[in-house]
Parts: sequence; C-alpha cells; structure tokens
Amino acid sequence: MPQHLLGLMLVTPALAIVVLLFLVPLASSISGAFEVAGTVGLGNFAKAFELYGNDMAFTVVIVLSSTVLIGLGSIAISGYLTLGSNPRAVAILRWLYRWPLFVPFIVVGQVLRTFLAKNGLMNSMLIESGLLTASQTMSFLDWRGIIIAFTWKQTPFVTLLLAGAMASLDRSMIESARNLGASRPRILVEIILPQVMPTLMVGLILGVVTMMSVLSVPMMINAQTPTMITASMAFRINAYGDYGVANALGFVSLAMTSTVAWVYLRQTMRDQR
Amino acid sequence: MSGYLEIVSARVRYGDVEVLRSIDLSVAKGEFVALLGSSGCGKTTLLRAIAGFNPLAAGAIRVDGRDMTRLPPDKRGMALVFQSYALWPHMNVDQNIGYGLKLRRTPRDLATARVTEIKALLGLEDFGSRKPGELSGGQRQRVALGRALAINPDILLLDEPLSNLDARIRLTVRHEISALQRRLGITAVHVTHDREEAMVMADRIVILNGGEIAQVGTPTEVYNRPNSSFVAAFMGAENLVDLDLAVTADTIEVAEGPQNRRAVLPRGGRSLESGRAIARFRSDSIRLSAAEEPDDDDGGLVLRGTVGQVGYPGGVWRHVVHLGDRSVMVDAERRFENGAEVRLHVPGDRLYVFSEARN
Repeated sequence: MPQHLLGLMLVTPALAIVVLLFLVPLASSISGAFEVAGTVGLGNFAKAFELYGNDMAFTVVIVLSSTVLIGLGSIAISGYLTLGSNPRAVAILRWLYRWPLFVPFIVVGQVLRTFLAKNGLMNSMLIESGLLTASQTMSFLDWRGIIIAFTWKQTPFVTLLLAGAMASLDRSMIESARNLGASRPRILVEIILPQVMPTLMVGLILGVVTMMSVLSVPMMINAQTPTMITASMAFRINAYGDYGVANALGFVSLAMTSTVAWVYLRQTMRDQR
Repeated sequence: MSGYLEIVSARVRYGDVEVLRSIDLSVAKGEFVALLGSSGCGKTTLLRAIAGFNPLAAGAIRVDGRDMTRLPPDKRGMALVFQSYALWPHMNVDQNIGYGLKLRRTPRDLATARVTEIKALLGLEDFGSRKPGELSGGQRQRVALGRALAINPDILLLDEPLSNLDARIRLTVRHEISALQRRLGITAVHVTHDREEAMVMADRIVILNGGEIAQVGTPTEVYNRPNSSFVAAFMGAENLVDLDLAVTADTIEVAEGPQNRRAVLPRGGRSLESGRAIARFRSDSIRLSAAEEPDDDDGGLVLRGTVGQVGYPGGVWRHVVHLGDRSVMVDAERRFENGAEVRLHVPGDRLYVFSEARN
C-alpha cells in the first residue's frame, strides 16, 4: 500500500469524528440560519434582529464589561502573586484564588441568587452592619449580577494562565527595574505586563467564548428582558420549536466570538512580523 | 585604608543556613574589587547583599560613612549588572538604557543626551532602535552596562557579567570593562569564578570560601603569597606534597622524605610550625630533569617521581608525575616518556608551605 494512503487511513478515525460530530452539525446550523420555508433567505436574521436586537447589544455590553473586570482582576492577583513582599499573604492568595475554577456555572448562579437578592445575604449583612436600612436595599439580580457572576468565575482561570506566565519571567528583569528605582505598580505595568500580554489576551478570549456559551447564569440571575443571547436561543427552541431564528442567533454569536479571535490573530501576526 | 564602601561583620542567612559568616571588607573610592570563589562560596550573595537584594541578618553596609543596611536597592546609589543581563525584551536599546532616567523624571532632552552619551561610550550608536533579541551577546552585555551607568551610580556592581559570552569575546570585553571603569573612576565590585578574569581586571581580589573571606590582596599578593592551602590551590597551585619541617627563625628545613631530598629554604616571614606540613606548587614553576642526568642543586626542593602520562596542550609538554601515592602535574619544554624516572626542582619562593595543623 502506498505510504500516503496508509497515513490517510491512520488519520481517518480522528477526522471522521471531527467531521461528523462537529463540522456537519455546524454547517447544518449555519445553513439552517439561512433557510426560510424551504428557500434561502435572510428572514431568520431579520426576525432575530427585530426580536432580539436588544439582547445582542446587552450580550456585547455584559461580555465586554466582564472581560475588562476579569482582566483587571487577574492582573491585580497575579501581579501580587509575583511581586508581593509578604510571603504569608502571597501563600494565602495563591491557595484561595483558584477555588471558583472548581465551581460549576450553575452553582455560581445559585449562590449569587441567594447572595445578591433584595432580601439576600449581602443586603442582610449591610443592614446588620448599619450601612443600609431595609428600605434602601435593592436587588442586584439583573445585568450587574451577571457581570459579578462572570467575573467571579472567570478571573481565576485567566489568573492561572497569567500568574504562570509571570512566574516564568526571569526574576532578574524585575530586580533590575527595582535596582533602578521602579515601584511595584510600575514594574507590573511597564516591565511585566508587556511581556505577558499575549497570555493575557489568550486567557481573555477564551473567557469571552466561555461567557458567550453560558446559559445557566443569565437564566438564574436575570429572569427578565433584555437578557443574553444564549437565553434567547434556548427560549426560541424550547417555547416555539423555532430552529431558524435560534440558528440565526447562534450565527450572530459565532460572528461575535470570531471577530474577537480575528482581531487577536491579526494583532499577533503583526507583532511577530 | 579609608573605605568608601564598608562592609562590617555582615551575615546573611537563607532559612537556617548561614550563607555569609561575618564578612568584613573595605573598598576604596575608584577601586575595582573582584569577589572570587567557586560556586556556592557566597560571592553572589555578598554582591546582592551590597546591592540590597539580600537583607543582612547582622552587620552593616556603609557608603561614604552613610548607613545603607536597611535602604532599598534603589536608594543606595548602586547599579547592578546582572549575569543574565536582564534586559527588557519589549524595550529597545534606547528605552532600556534610558529607563532609570525616566524613573528619575529626568527632562526628556537631558535624558536623550545622556542616552546618546552612554551609547557613544559603549559603541552602541547604531543600535538605539534595536530590541535586545536583535543584538549579539557582547552587545547585550554592553547595553546592560549602559543601563547601569546611565543613572551615574556611585558604585557599579557586576555579577559575572562575562560568563555568558564566548571565550574570545570575553577576553576583549574584560579589558573594555576595566578600561571604562578606570576612565570613569567609578568604584566597582565584580563577582567572578574565573581566576584569570579577576587577576587582569581587579585592583584587589577577595577570595571567598564557604561564606568567609579566605584572603584579600592585590593580584600579585594572592598569587605569590597565598595565606592558606585553599587559596594556593584556588590560585592554580594544585600540586600537593606532604613534607616534614623543622622551622627556625629564618629557615625552613625540609627533612628527607620518601619522595624528596633534604632541603633548607628561606623562611621569608611565613608563619609555620615544625612538624607535618603540606606544600603546594604550580605546574609551570618547576624544572624537570631526568633522574640519570647530573644533578645541579639550585637551592629549592627536589622531588623524585615517575612520569605516568604525557600530553601536549600547546607550548609545553604536560606530564603527570607520580610521587608515591600522590600525582602532580608538571609542564616542561621537552618531553619525558611514560615511565621515565624524573627529578622535580621547585624553587623555594614558588613552594607554598602550610603547617598541617592550620589547614
């Protein structure tokens, strides 16, 4: 048997799985988005934008704000892990920050629901401590709740990547900056961050993709409109059996994540040149 | 000597291990001092303690009479050149050299002028916009030096700055650095494990062993008058023989031994005791002659041995000579064959003798 045929045979099982389980359903969803009553058209998209335009904008705002917060949080935590001068505080933080990684999204939603509600734990604590009166409390179970949930859940993941990248930098690069008189925040921003930027970007993009796929958090925390695109898709299928509009929404969501990935890839190509 | 940089009873601990044990050292202004020792002797720890990266468990560090012991690294007026150079890969040469000036809020035109001056000093004029990744090892080393010099430090600290360069470049960079140091008149402390590097660069050499100073002296002092067997061996006198001594006020009488003749050597102020002693000498300070040749006693120590191996490293023949159960290395102009009976003539002033009790 010729060599190249043998090679092809070896790769066939893996290829078949990718094609059958991933590419075919993807293609069928995408083509389904453009199918209106047996003909090709943009009807599903028109309907999707008309009914769920607000949800799309809401999704973009939520995901972008969460990403900014996740970025800042992970820079702060991994920066302290790398530059912190109190070994005990560093050890405690290192032990603590990874916990949310092991908590499923649905549990995060559940926990925050009891914590952020109008008569939830957070408000009771604030009233107990005398900072608020019962009439001043309000519920955070809306867009703010989603952002809190995403940030809480995704920051450790990005921190894990970022702290690893920072730890692998040559320590003497930090010491040489200290030797010249740079403060810790300056070392973080001017010396460390530029060198770990690619890792931060990868972490944030993976975070964006994850947030774009989470259904449980918006369902549990934000039981109103506008809501996130994932919830709208589920609603369209479960309530109406309307796969056309759901597929169109899926296509829009894929376009959003692809845009982020494309911007990132273009940036890295430019940097490497 | 009036010290500019003074280190007083400095101790450094890593956990329970005492890495530096009571170091006392005084460096004059404008002096170039090399800290020399093998790996783990504490030389880099001492340099980092001076720089302020390793806190002292006890003792003090003073510069020009001011106490620096508790000051952070950037308040000591010192600049450290790291072994790995530690250049920042995302900044170009100008930004690397100018970073210290930026931190000091030097006005931009002054900073630019200073960076240009430093680049001219180090021959880096054409590389200002290059990133460290686009430079050769020698150029990176100069950028690291330039970054340290740009802030006009009182003291320049060099942590094995040449160990990452290949052998040929290292020889020229040695001279460049010491010439630059003399031209700028800057006080410098240089860490190295390379004896020759320390000898040619430094005004004074500090030999460290096991966290303590073994000897301090000019290159000629530590080379010609080692104060211990360790220093003698470190300075290249690796050959070792056992002797029996009778010491008088100004002579050392070496008793006839299984491998050596009786000899009387001038004492030369050495502090020695009668009894068992060890003697060290270098492979190139010996005259080698065949045992059957007529003997011309020239006043030194004469040893008898058998050639065990001969090699040619270039210039001279290198012989391994067996003296009883010890072996020594001897260089000679001519070749002696394996198994030849030979005599080794070691001049009295090239023989470093230490009483056994003291080492």
